[in-house]
Amino acid sequence: MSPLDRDPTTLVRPPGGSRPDVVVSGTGAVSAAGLGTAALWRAVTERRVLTGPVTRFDLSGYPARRGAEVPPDAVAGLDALVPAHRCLAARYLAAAALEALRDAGVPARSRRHRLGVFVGTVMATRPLLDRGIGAGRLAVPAGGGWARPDDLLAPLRAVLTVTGPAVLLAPGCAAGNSAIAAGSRAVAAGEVDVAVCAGVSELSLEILAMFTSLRALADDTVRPFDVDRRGTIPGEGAAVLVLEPGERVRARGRRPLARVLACAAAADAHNPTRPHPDGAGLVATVRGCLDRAGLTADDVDWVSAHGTGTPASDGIEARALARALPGRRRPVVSSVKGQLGHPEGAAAALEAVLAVRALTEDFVPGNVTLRKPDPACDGIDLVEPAGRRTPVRTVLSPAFGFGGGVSTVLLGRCDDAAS
Amino acid sequence: MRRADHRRASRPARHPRTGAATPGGAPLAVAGLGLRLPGVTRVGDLVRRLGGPPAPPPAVRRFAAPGSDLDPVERLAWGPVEPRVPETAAGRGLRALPYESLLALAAAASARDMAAAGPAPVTGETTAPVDPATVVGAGPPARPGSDDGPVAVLWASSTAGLSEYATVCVEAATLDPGLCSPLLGPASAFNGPAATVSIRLGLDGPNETLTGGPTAGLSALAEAGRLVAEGSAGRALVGGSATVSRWSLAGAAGDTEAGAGGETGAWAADGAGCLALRPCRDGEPGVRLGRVLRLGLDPADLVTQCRDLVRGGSAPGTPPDGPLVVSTGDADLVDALAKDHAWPVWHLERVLGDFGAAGGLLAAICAVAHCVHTPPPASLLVLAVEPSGNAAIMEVLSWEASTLSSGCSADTSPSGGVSARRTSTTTAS
Repeated sequence: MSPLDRDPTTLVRPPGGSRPDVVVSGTGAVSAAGLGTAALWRAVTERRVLTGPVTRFDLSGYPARRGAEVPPDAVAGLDALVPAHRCLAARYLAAAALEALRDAGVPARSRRHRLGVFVGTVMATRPLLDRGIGAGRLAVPAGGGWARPDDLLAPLRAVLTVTGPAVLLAPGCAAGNSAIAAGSRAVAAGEVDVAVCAGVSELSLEILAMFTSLRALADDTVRPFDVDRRGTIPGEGAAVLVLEPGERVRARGRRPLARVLACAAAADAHNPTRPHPDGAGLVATVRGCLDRAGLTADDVDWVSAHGTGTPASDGIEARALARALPGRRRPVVSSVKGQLGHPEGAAAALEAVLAVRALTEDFVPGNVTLRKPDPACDGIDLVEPAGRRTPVRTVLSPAFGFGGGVSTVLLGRCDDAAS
Repeated sequence: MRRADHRRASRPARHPRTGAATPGGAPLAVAGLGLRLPGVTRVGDLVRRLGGPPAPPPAVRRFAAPGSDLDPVERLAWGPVEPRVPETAAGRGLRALPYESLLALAAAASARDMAAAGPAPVTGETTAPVDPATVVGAGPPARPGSDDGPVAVLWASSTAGLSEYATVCVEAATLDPGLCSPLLGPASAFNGPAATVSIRLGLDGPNETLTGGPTAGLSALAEAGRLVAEGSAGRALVGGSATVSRWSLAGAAGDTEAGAGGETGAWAADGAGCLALRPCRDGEPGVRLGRVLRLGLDPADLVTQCRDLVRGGSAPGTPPDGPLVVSTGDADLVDALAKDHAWPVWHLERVLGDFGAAGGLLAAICAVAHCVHTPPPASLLVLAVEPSGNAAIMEVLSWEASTLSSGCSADTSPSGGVSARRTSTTTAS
C-alpha cells in the first residue's frame, strides 16, 4: 500500500469513480463598478464605461492617465467587510470571496468541508512597492510585503477557513482562468468539496509605467476590435467563482448557476510580449475545450473575448477565433474591456462571473465602445453595443497575456440552473 | 537538523504494486533533471549535501538597490550560480534575459536533454551530445493530437521579476514618464521563467507559474500530474527557481545582518532545478512521483498535525518507512519532526538554502536524487509547510529493478560521487 493510499483526501478519485459534474454555485466581484456581482452586471448591461482619470496616483506628465479604479466609496466600504491590510488587492479578494460563498450558501468558517482556494494574480503584493514612487529616488515603504506573494491571501484567511490547498497561480493575464481550471480539476479529482477560484489585481503605477513605455495605452477609451483602437487601459478588482460537485449543491437544496464544461491551456511559445501571429495557443485551447465538452462551434453562443484593445492583439484574436470556430454561423464575440479596462489578474475571473450571469440572464453584453470594426474581424460576429437578448447556453472565455500563456474556459448552462 | 545513520535510508521500504499512486491519477516517471544550485553540479553533489555534515555558511554577498533609499547591505547568501545554458537551448538574446530566467532555462534544458539523451551518463548536467530530433519539445512545437501530446511547463518562484519590478519603480521615480526600459516591464511578473522555458524550448503545452510559499513547488508537481492525466499534456517540465536581491531581502520577513533566515542556518539562495516528467506504466521500474496530499492545517498547532501527516503516510501500526525531506521556514518544526522520525529528516533550507516558492520542488528533487543514489526499492516523503498552515506532502519512490523508468540507475562514480546512467532504450521524446 502506498503511504498515502489510506487517506481519502489524496488527489486521486477512486478507480471507477465517475468524474463529477463541476458547477458554479456562487459568484462574487469587486470591480470598477463597485462591490458585488449585481453592481458589475448592472454596469455592463447599462453600457457604462468605467474607465476614467486615475485618482490614486499622480500621473501628471504621463501621456495617458486613465484607469478603471474601484471607486473610493467601494474601497471605503471594504472596512465593513474584511480586515485592514496594506494590499488593496488582498482586500478585494477577501470581499469577493465572502460574497461568492454567501451566494453559494457555503459557510466561510467551517472545518467540516474541504475548502481550497485557487487564486490567479499577475503581480500579487508587489504594488506595495509602487507607493514609494515620487519625485527623486524611490522611497521604499517600510514593512516590506512586496516580496511575500502569499500575503495576498492574508485577509482571505482571516475571513474564511481554508482546509484544503491554497494555490497562487501567476501565469500572466490568463491567471483567472488558470485558477478556475485548477479549482475545477481539484473538485473533479475529489481533492476538495469547495473550490474558491479567483482572479485579483490592484491598479499599479508600475503597470502604468510599463504600458506607457510600451506605447500600449489608450488615452481616451478602450475600443476592442475597432479599427481605430489605440491601446488598453489598466483596471483592477477581484472576482470569485465557487465551484463544487453538482450533487453537493443540489443536496443542500440549491440550484447551480452554471457548469464548467471544459478548460484548456496552451502556450504560444513565440514571444514574451507579442501573441503568435496565427493565434496558435488560442486556437489550440478553443479546440481543446470543444473536444472535451463534446461540442461544436455552433454550440457556442458567446465568446467573451480577451479583447484588450491593443493594435497588436485584437486582430490576431479575431482571426484565430474565426478559424477555431468554423460553424454555420460566425462566432458571436464581444469584449467587456471597453467598459472595465484591463484588470490583468482579475480580468478572466471577472469575465467568467459575467459569463455566468449571461447564462442565467440570456443576455450577451455588447462591444459598448465599438464604432468601426477592424476588417480583421470579418470572420466573427461582433455584438452591437446594446448587447443581445438571446438564449445563452454556452460561453467560451479565452484569456492570454505576456509570456504567451493561454487559458480558456467553457461554461454552460445547467438544466436546473438558478435564474 | 537530525542526521541519522544514512545507511538506514537505503533499507528497502514498502512500495505500491500499482502505478496508480500518483498525483492526479497519471503515473509520472522522472525522465530527467536539471540543477543550477550553489555548490551542486551533479546529482551526487546533492546526495552528499543531504547526507553529509552541515555545509559551511555561504559567502558574504553585497546587495544594492541603486536609485532607491535602501542602503547597500552585506549578507550571507548562497550563490550566485553560473547559468551554463546548454548549447541545445542557446541562441541570440540570452544576455537580455533576467538572471533567474537564465537559471530556469538552463535547468529546464538540462532536464529535457537528460530525458532525451539515450544511454549516455547523466550527472545533473548534460555532457553528452544530444540529437535535437529526440529532444523533448525540440523542433516545431507539437500540437494536441501529435503522438505524445504537448509538453507542459510549470514553474514555481516567488522572486522571478522582483528586481525588474523594483527597477521599473525606480525608473518611474527618477526618469520622465515613458522612459522606463520597455524590456523591464514585461519581465517584472512572476512568469518570466516559465515563459522563457516555453519560448526558448518551443514548448506549447500548458504554461503555468505558481508562487507563494514552498508548497507552490509541490503544487506545481501535482498540477502537472493532473494536466497529464486529463490529456492536456503528454509530458511536463516542472521546475522552480529563486534569486536573492536587495529587494527580496528588504521585502521579506526576518532579514538580519546574518542574512534572511540566517539565525537558523537557512540562508537565502540563488538557484534553479527542474524535473522532466512523463507518464509511466504499471509495473515499470523507475523513479516516480507518488501521491500528493495538499491541505490547510491549523497554524496554531503545526507540529502535531505535521507529525500526524507524516505518520499517516505509513501503514497502520508501523513507523514511517523512509527519509523525510522538509521545506519550510520553521526550523523548530523540522527539529520536532526529527525527534520521532526513525529515518533521516533533511531540512531543505538548511541543506541548500531558502528558495521561497521553489522550496517544495527542490525538496522533491532531493528525494529523486536520493532514489537515484539508493538501490531500489526506496521511498521518501517530501513535506512543505508554510506558517499559514498551507501544507503539501508527496511520496517519491523507486522500486524493484535496477533500471528505472526514468532511464536512470544508481552508479557510484570513481570519485565517490553518484551519477545516473540511462539504461532504458525508451526516450521521453
